[in-house]
Formats: sequence, structure tokens, C-alpha cells
Amino acid sequence: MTDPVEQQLANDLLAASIHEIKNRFGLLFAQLEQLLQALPLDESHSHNADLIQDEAQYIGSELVRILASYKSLDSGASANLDQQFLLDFLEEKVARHASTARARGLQIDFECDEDLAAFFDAGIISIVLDTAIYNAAKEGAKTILITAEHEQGSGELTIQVHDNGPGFPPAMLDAAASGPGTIKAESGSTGLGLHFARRLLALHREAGDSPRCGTLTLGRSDRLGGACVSLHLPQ
Amino acid sequence: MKMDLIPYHKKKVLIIEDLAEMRSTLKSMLANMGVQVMETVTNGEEALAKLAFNQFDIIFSDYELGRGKDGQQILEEVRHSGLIPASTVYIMVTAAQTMEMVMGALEFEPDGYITKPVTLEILRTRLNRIIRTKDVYQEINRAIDHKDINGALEACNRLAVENPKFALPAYRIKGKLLLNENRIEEARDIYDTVLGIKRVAWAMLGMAKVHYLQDQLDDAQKLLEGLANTNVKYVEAFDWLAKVLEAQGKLKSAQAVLEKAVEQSPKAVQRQQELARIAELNGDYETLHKACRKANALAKNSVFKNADLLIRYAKSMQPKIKHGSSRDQKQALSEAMTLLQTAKTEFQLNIGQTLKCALVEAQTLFNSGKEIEGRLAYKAALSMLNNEELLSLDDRLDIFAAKLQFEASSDAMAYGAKLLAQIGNNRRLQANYYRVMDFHLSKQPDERLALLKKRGQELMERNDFEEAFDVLQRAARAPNTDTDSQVSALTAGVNLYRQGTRNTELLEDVNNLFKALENLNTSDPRYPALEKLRLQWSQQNNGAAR
Repeated sequence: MTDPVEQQLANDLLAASIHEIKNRFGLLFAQLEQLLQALPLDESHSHNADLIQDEAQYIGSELVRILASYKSLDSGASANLDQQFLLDFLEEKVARHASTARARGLQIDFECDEDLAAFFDAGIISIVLDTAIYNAAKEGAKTILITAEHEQGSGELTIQVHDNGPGFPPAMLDAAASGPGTIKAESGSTGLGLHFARRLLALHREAGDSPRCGTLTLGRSDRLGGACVSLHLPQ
Repeated sequence: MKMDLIPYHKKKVLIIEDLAEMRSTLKSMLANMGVQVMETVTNGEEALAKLAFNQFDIIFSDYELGRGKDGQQILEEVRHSGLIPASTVYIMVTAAQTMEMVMGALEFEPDGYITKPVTLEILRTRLNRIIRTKDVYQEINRAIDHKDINGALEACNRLAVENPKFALPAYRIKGKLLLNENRIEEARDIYDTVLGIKRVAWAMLGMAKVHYLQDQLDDAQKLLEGLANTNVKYVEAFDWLAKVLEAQGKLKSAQAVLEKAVEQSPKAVQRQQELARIAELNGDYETLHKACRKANALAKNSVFKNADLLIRYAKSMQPKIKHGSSRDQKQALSEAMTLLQTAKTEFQLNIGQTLKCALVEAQTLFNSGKEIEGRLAYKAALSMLNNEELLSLDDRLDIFAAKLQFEASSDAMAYGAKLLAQIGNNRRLQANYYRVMDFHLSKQPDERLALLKKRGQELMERNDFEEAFDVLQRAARAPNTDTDSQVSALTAGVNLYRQGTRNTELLEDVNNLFKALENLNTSDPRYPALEKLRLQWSQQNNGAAR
């Protein structure tokens, strides 16, 4: 299917059906929650109920995230580069993941200079960070650390998501530069998520004059020993 | 990091939330954080009533509040009418999906957003942050609350110098204050400075306003169209783009832009009123009626209700009163009369509004079959008018329409001829003049067709293919249409396309016209012209096919 019009149609169809699934799932989840609350459950069952709720919440936010990525990519619009204070931004990001993280025994923290400010599209970067965080959790990391700083010299903003999980397989680190096809074959959805993230960062450029766009690199974490996903955002 | 504890036990909080469960969750979380005084309301009306007599330090408003006003409307109204001071913290609670739309409202921004689902963790983190940030602007807000604009501007300068982290936000507030004060040159300096650092959206919008206010319409248009292509969905950018287009005389484009904006923010009452106003200028009754209906419902019990809206709404009902089913007719008639009555009793009307109100009333009576009463009301309306020079040409077009209805045809046409001369080269008013004539001739199909064809030819000679196509399409769609009309419409359509207008509607219209002319005899004198159009069309389409 190489015809761009047909491709677009297929994409729209997919997006529409994910949207529908997301809504239906929301209804289903609400019903389920009511049901679980009404049931007299013993200790072990109530643990199961917690797991179900946790997983349902995960699926729900995953669907929202996919839709948001798709919408950002599809609009073809350039990023909304506005000044962001990293302290505020990361603080909220971490708070947003706190409850699901706790349920999985996961510790999330962030580190950045109090006055650090940079220009980026909060919506896009938020989606990319979510992707990195979910990936880390899925691979079994128990500690996640997000750091942010300006590179000396280039002035580019680097945001890194470190974890103490098993890290990326060597094949994936090698293949990272060669596009989505190889990654997908190696590690399924993780690679696809990162592929999306990479494309989103590519949108991260100023309208018109500036040809520099955001990039994403994968590596080993020097802080926690696991994986490290780095976002590089030209300023 | 300086982390003074926030004295939540001293803060008075208002929660605007329609869902009981969410209300109690929020209350218990806030209590957990130390808040002792909390009040809750379930909708916008209650909130406004509460805010009229009580002061709060922090207001939480859900964005989505069911049928009534949404959180953004409440915020607009309380800030617009000064019901809450600048120092009050207003927080919008939104679902993640509506976040983007909510954030598009720039002019009346809340102090912060909290996206659902709200957990204690998130609430605590966000609220601490929002209050600490608000504290940074304390001095500025205090000056604004005392209407001390120079004091506020100085406070902005101080903040930018003393705390460089907040330099850009300080400039942002400064630019807004300066524009409000009509200190345009100073505002330009601010936006120039900021855009020199980074092309942030709010500064582009600010600069576009500066351009507009200094009559640099093309520059303003360029900036605003650039903004429309970024990820940020500033609905306000659409409002200003519409203003710019209107000032350039491109009223149809202005309407299209507003229609798009209204789609994004269907509950924004001022925008609906703007759309109604432009639709009236464009003579588009259908849009006029729709926008008036929405604006009227939204403006109910609010400071945004006004006489122009009421009169316009009554005017928009005329087609229904004249041609609707008898049930529709009856309902529209009583609604229109009530609207006009309300306009007269609740507002102090100026001369233009008084006349317009009287004319719409006369039309309403006449169109509903009460011809004698209509005529009397019309006479009474005209007798009020001793100096026509005070009226705009738009108002005089209204008079012309009434004259056609109520006076001898020759008198009315004499008035029309004089008016047309005064209209001169104004495209929009010309178009509206012919729309009035078109409507008037609806019962005389031959005269109507002749008028449309003549007007269409005139426009084609001026290369105004957009307007020409509009007029000639009406001719081509008339029941008594002829080959000349169809060929002319086709010529206008193909030329319009060649000028770069691209939309599916135009494509379809042109294709339909080709189909209608399929069987034109090869010996017909118009056949060569048709062949030429066919050739041009296929060239254009091959070039455009992707």
C-alpha cells in the first residue's frame, strides 16, 4: 500500500477505531470498578482486583498516549516551542506516574537545576517521556531517574530517562540508527514505541528557518546501570 | 530550594464541579492538605452568584460542566466583569483529551491546569507549584487590582531584572497590559525583544495584534497564518485573523475562519456573536441564524447579552417567518417579537439600533402576513429618521430591503440606485446590494435570472471570479436557468480553480456543470468556448492530481 491517499485513509481508520476502543474501554472499566467495589472480596481476591484496576488504568493511558502521538504526527504542524521550567514540568510528570509506579514497586525521581528553563513543546515531550517510562517499567526496572540539563557549548537541552533494568540488548543499540524495521523485529512493541518517539522528536523544530530538530539516542545508564534514553532538544 | 509551607488552613477555596463524587474527592484531598474553608457549587450560574458576594483565594473549576457554562466561560465572565481580583488563583481541572482545546484560550488564562485523574499526589504537587508561581507575580497582580497600570508595568520590569527566570513571563504580562492601554509602540518593543530571543507563539500573536492596530494588515495576516500552522491551537489567533481579513474587505474568508474557530470552541459566546455579525454582513442567513441561536442561549443571564444580538437574532428568523411550515412560522414569529421587545425594554438603543429594531419589527409583521400592520410599523420607523447621514451603508441596505417590500417599486429602485452609487467600489456592499435584489425578485424568475447574469458578467470582467461564481451558480441553479448561465458559471468556476482555489465543493460544482452541458450541440456557437474550458480543466486537474 504505497499510495499516500490510501495510506492516509488506513491511518485515519486505525486512529478512529482506537478512539472508539478507548471510549468503550473507559465504559467497561467504569462498570468493572463499580462491580469490584460492590463485591465482598477476601484478601487475595482484593489483591487481584487491585491488579486488574492497575492494568486497566495502564491500558487506558496507553490508548490515550497512542492517540495523542498519532494526532501530533498527523497534523503535520510545527511544534509549539514555549518556555518551560523543567522543575515544574518534571515534578508533574513524576507525580502523574506516582500511583501506578507505587503499585508496581517502582521508584521514580528526577533531578534538575531549580532555575533550569528551556524551549520545547510540553505536549510532545510529555508523550515521549511517558513512552520511555512505560518501557522501563515493562522491562522490569525498579528505579527510574529523570535528569535534565543544558549541554555545555551547544546549549541543547538533554533530558535523560535512566533505569536499573536489564538495559537495551546490544542488537537494539546497534540497530537504533537504522530505522524502525530492524527494531520492530527484535523487540516488538518497545521498539515501535521508540520509533514513534523518534518521529515525534523530529517534529520538534521551529517553523521555517531552523532545520535542527530533536533527536533520541539509546544507551547504557551511567547512573543506574540499566537503559538510558536521551532526548536532545536544540534551543 | 526555598520551600516555605503554604498556609492552606488560611485559604478559602471554591470548587465548581458538577459531579458529586468528584466534588467530595476534591474536598477530602484539600482537607488532607489543611484547607479548612471550602464551598462547592455545581454549575456556572451558582458560581457567579457565589462570587458576586464572596471572595475566595483559590477557585477550582472543572472545565466540562455538563449542559451549562463551561469552566472557560466562567473564567471569562468573572475576569471580564472584574468579579474576581487578579490575585485570586483560578485552576482549571480538565480531562487530558480536552487539555489542548482548553489551553487554546489565551486571553483569559487560568493560573494553572490540573489534568484528570486527580490524585492527592498530583493535587499537592500542582497546587504548591501554582501558588508559588502566583506569589512571584504578587506585586504585579496587586497593582493591577488597584488599577495602577504603571505600577504593574514597573513591577514587571523589576521581576525581569531580579529574577531572570521569569523575564519572559514578565514581558508577556507587560505586552498584554500595554496593548490594553493602547500603548502600541511600547508593546511592539516588547514583542520585538521576545521574538528576537525565540519565536514563541504568544509573542507572535502579540505582534500580530500590534500590526493589526497599526494597520499593517498583510504582516498581521502572515503571522497569524503561521500561528495556525503550529501545534498550538490558539483560538484567539483565529479571532484576530478574522479581524484582519475583515479589515482587508475579505469578509467571506473572515467568516470561514470564524466558523473554524467556533467549531473548536462552541461555547465561546463572544466568538459566536462575532460570527453572527460577519454572517449578517455577508448576507448568509443560515449561518446568521445558527450563530445567533447559539450566542443567545450562551449569553442568557450574562454580561454578554446585548441589543445587537437580540435584533440580529430576530432578523435571522425572517426566512422562517416567511417560508417556514405553519408551526415553525408561528413559533419564529412569537420568538422574534419577544426578542425585539426585550431589546427595547432592557437596553438603551442608539439611533442605528432603534431604526434597525423598528425595521425588523415591520418585516416580521409583514412576512407573517400582517401586511397592514407591517406597513404601518415601517412608516413609523421611517418617520423617526430625520438624518440618514448618521446611518452606515449597511443600515441603508436594510432600509432599501424594507423599501422594496413596502413602497412602490419605482421609489424603492430610485433609492437603490442612489445607494449603489454611494457604495462605489466596495465589493462586499455591492454583493449585499445584489443579494437584496435577488431576494426581492424571488417571485419574478425571469427578472431575477437576468439580474444574476448581468451581475455575473460584470464581476467576470473585473476578474472577481469568486464572487462571479457565487452569483452565476445561483443563476445556474435557478429552475428557469439557460445554457448561457451554465456556461458563464462554468467559466467563472474554472477560472476560480486556476487562481488557486481548491475545495471539494468547487470541484463537484464544476463537474456538475460539465455534466449539465454534456449534450450541447457541436454546432452551437457556445460550443468552442465549452471545449476550451474542458481542455483547461483537464490540464489543471492533471497538474493537481497527486
